[in-house]
Amino acid sequence: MRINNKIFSIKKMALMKIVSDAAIASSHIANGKTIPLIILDTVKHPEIDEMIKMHHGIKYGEVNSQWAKSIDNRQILLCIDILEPTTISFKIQFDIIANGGLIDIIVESQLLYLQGGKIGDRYRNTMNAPNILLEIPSNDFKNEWINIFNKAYTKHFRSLGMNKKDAKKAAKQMRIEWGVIRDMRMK
Amino acid sequence: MENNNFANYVAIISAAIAVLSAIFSFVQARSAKNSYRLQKKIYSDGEPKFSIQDISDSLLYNQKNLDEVYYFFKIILPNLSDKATSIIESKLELKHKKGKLIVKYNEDCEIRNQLERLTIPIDIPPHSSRIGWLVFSVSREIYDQLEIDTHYLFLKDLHGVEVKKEKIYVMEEYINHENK
Repeated sequence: MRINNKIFSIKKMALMKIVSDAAIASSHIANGKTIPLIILDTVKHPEIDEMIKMHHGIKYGEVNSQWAKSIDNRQILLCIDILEPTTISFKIQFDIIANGGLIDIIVESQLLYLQGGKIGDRYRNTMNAPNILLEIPSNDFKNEWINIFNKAYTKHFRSLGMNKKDAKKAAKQMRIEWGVIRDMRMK
Repeated sequence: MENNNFANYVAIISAAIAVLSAIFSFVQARSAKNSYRLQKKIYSDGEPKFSIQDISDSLLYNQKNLDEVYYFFKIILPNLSDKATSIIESKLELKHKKGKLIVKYNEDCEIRNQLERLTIPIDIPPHSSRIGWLVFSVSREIYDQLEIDTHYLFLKDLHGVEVKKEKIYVMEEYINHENK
């Protein structure tokens, strides 16, 4: 994979699992956008915890990101390559069905808070933990994501017993309903 | 017999000359290709070529008693051409839920005067760069109604070359908004 003319291998990146997620909206931040927060399981990756601690409070850094999809259309990967002030690369694994709403908010807001933690952590219990805010440019991925979302949820609803036409309609309607959270602003 | 030998020698020599000609043509073709590449590069270096390499800092200044809010962007502008250039136009596009708003460049802003400003026109000599802050202002009445998704900074030089750079997140500074 090439990002900004730098070639690196997705395979070599550490695979991070999501412990829990939240959505934060503040009138003083990013024009009140709803911004998702992910707590990653960093127990086996203390270097990511260290990176978050070092970045916390620093105004600006540099990060590259790339969306990827598994061949079986079940997983989405977000590959993150942090360049400044520290350098570290990792990928975050999302399940399209379980985390579809979360991916949707990331794609729409193009922002993401990252926090380190362990299994069982929730944002409400760890609000004082350091986190960092990343820009995740996603304009080029957005239309493709909507297709992926619709196909995945259509298939999911069909597996629950719906016919094809109703499943397609339900998938589209679900994304519209999810817009209540996705498009919420604190102004 | 002697005639046959002579004919063979002629054939061999002809074949050798043909091979040498082919080799010579190949070398000439390679040389011409390299020369073309060099000419193309020289021509390309002379074309107008600037970019917004980075928006290294940004700020939204929102003071309660002012009629306008101010966007500050610190930009790095390299000119990669052999020719000098001059940035003659800059604009900020706010992409919001219902469309886009073009925000005008503000050259008279007195706020944060300690920041090194870039003033339109921005002259950039060949193979050098400029760094500084550009300021844009938008009326508070309009800003408060917008749900802004992202920001695009556009710059245009006197050769008509236009570049743009996106800035998704701009840090917001609120002055005298005690109740917020």
